Amino acid sequence: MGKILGIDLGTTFSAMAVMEGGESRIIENKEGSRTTPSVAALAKNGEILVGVQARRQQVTNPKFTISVAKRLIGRRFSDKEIQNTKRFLSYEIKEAQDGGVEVKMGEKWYKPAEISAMVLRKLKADAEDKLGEKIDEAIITVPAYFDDGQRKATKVAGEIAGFEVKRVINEPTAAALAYGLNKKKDEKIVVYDFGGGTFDISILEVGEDTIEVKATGGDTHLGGEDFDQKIMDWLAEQYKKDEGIDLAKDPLATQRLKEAAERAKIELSSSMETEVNLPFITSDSSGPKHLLYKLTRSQLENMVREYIDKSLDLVRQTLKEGKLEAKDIDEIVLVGGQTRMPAIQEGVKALFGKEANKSINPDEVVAIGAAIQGGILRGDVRDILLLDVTPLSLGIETLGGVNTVLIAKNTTIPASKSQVFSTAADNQTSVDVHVVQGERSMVQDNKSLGRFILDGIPPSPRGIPQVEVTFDIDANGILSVTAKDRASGKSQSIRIEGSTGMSEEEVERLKREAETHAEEDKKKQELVETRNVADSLLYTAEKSLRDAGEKIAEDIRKEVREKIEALKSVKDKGTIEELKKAVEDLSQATQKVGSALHENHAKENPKQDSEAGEENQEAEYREKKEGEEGENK
Amino acid sequence: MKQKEKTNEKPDSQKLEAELYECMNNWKRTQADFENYKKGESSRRQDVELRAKKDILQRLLPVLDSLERALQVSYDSNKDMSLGLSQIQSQLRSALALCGIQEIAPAEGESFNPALHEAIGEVEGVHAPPGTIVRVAEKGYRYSESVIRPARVLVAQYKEE
Repeated sequence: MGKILGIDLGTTFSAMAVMEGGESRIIENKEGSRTTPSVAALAKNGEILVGVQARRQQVTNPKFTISVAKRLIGRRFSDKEIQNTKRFLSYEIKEAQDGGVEVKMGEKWYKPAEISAMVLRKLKADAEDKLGEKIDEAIITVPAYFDDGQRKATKVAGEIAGFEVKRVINEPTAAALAYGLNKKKDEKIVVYDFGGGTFDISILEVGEDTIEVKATGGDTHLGGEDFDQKIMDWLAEQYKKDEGIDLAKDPLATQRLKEAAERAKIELSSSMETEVNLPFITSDSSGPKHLLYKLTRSQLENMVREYIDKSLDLVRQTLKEGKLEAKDIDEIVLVGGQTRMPAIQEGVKALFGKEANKSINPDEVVAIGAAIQGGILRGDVRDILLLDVTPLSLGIETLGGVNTVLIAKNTTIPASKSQVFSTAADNQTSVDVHVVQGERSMVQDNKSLGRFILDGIPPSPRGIPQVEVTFDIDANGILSVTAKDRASGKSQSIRIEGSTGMSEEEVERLKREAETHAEEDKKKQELVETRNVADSLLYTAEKSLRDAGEKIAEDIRKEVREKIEALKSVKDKGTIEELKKAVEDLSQATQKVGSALHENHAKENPKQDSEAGEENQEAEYREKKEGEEGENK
Repeated sequence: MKQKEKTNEKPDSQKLEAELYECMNNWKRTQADFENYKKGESSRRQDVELRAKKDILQRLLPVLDSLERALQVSYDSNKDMSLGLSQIQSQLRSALALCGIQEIAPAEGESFNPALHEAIGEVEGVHAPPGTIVRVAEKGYRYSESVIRPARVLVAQYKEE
């Protein structure tokens, strides 16, 4: 069985998605874009162009470039909306024999559904090309207010394009599906859809198996493009005032202004201020002219306040028509690129008193939901073997009481992971493996699952033994922890049942605790880690002093001894800053020992210089290994 | 799986076989899914890489356009300035070329092709065949097969029939 393509057939742009590996994913078109302009054209050379290519030739061919077919599809010519739309169209339309609408492209008259079919056919071909398989089935979305005739015409468009249209579903329903809101029985959902050219508001109610549309509202001639236009007008007006030049007369300048306006709008969604910088925008007798204006977020908000307020008024009106109040609404979903604007998000939040769902790309959420509907129809969801995940991280205690995580939370099980640790003291012959569960940095704040001792490690200096610790969780959540000394081959293990078997409340509590303590835990961990570094440095410094003996000058030895004492005095009670400083000082002093030894050696054995180099390297290697692998207590 | 299944009856071998078959089948399916996912991963990676490159380029191209515009102005009074600017331009161009970015710079008189060009306006009454490029307002750029930005052009007007 092939895949089902989920299609958001939009007024200005369309998008498509499929289910893959249990997830809905947007498919890029042939040009590499995630959205495709819903435009078709008959080029001067007789070729039919669809998508971005049709749009690129629009100015040279306005009469045969058909955009916004969605505003015409399935409507009667006498419809008020058609008469309203007619004045904005650059192409000819007429009443068809059946009372519907026909558009002229070249010598031929087409039904709007045939134009939409051209867009759908391109999407089909591009998706097939991208996925490398034939796609015959589709789910197509329509606005919730579409009547039966408009839905039928959309279905016909899909069929002309070669699809078997499995369902025509509502855009707001698809958006709700994308957020998995179909599982929330009896909840009421508001979908606030601010697109490029239209604003739609829908109120949905989730029933037993269905999502019912309770009310719809909006404005078919209000969209993000109006926001761009406002910015553009403002820029042109400012420029005219400052320079006395009307940029609207120059097509390239207009194009650049338009792009800059949209870019400024987008930037102001993430920053408070932006710069519209268009050098060499035009020229006059005095030479080239540049445009440079600052635009702040609040300036933009003031410019478009009327649009935002209008949209919110329409929300209130729709609530009223559905005999509902804002407090009755359980979930809000934001759709359409314009909803990225913070002022809109804040306005919606203030109206409903709660955060809206906005984590999925608002330009793609409808197509994603349509593909999910396809997945539900195909039974894709049933197919998947339900795999458990570890609800909390699993790790062991390392030097200083730090929780070193081996298997992170949310890892799909069965899973296994190994890591090599070493000893913290010279001649340490046993290690204590303490298994803990939880998200906190320090062992004491987590849950202890068990511990065991691995002994019989051959005596060697600290950092030399290699103890491999392996965590293995099977599909039933049973955790086995094994520690193995690589030198002696001795190993020891523990089996812990029910490592995932915590109650949900307990898991939630632990996660919450980890979040609230994240900052202080991080500080604690940093302190312990710095202390560990200090320990290891003290060890190396003392050792190098002993080894060097009388070979180096007394003043260097004295300095190192002083720094050692200084570090010891702050190691267990100083602040992290004092500790870091002392570590830095000692490490510099110790380096002098190394270079003094090296110089001596070079003087005594001028020819064997390379040997000394090797000795140094070995010492370095050891140090690095300790740092990399951590140390076991 | 523990106590419950320990009944007195002998396990039905057919049932066990069926279960085994199902388990094997599911396991193979999962393996296959994973293999397919890995295969898809490399193309997804390429897509992401391409998109990231395009994103950065789309932000950088206006700088190159501005340089181009700056160079179109004559610097009679300051030849060195003009020379410096054009050196900066060629520096940037060669850096882009090294990244595999190619210019789309149609010649005047070439036919308009919406796969590579975007018409920003029409020019009336020129002595040029209709539908040919009269002026390139901004160069376009492509990366392998993908058009990052079409060349912006002015096109000779078609006569109204």
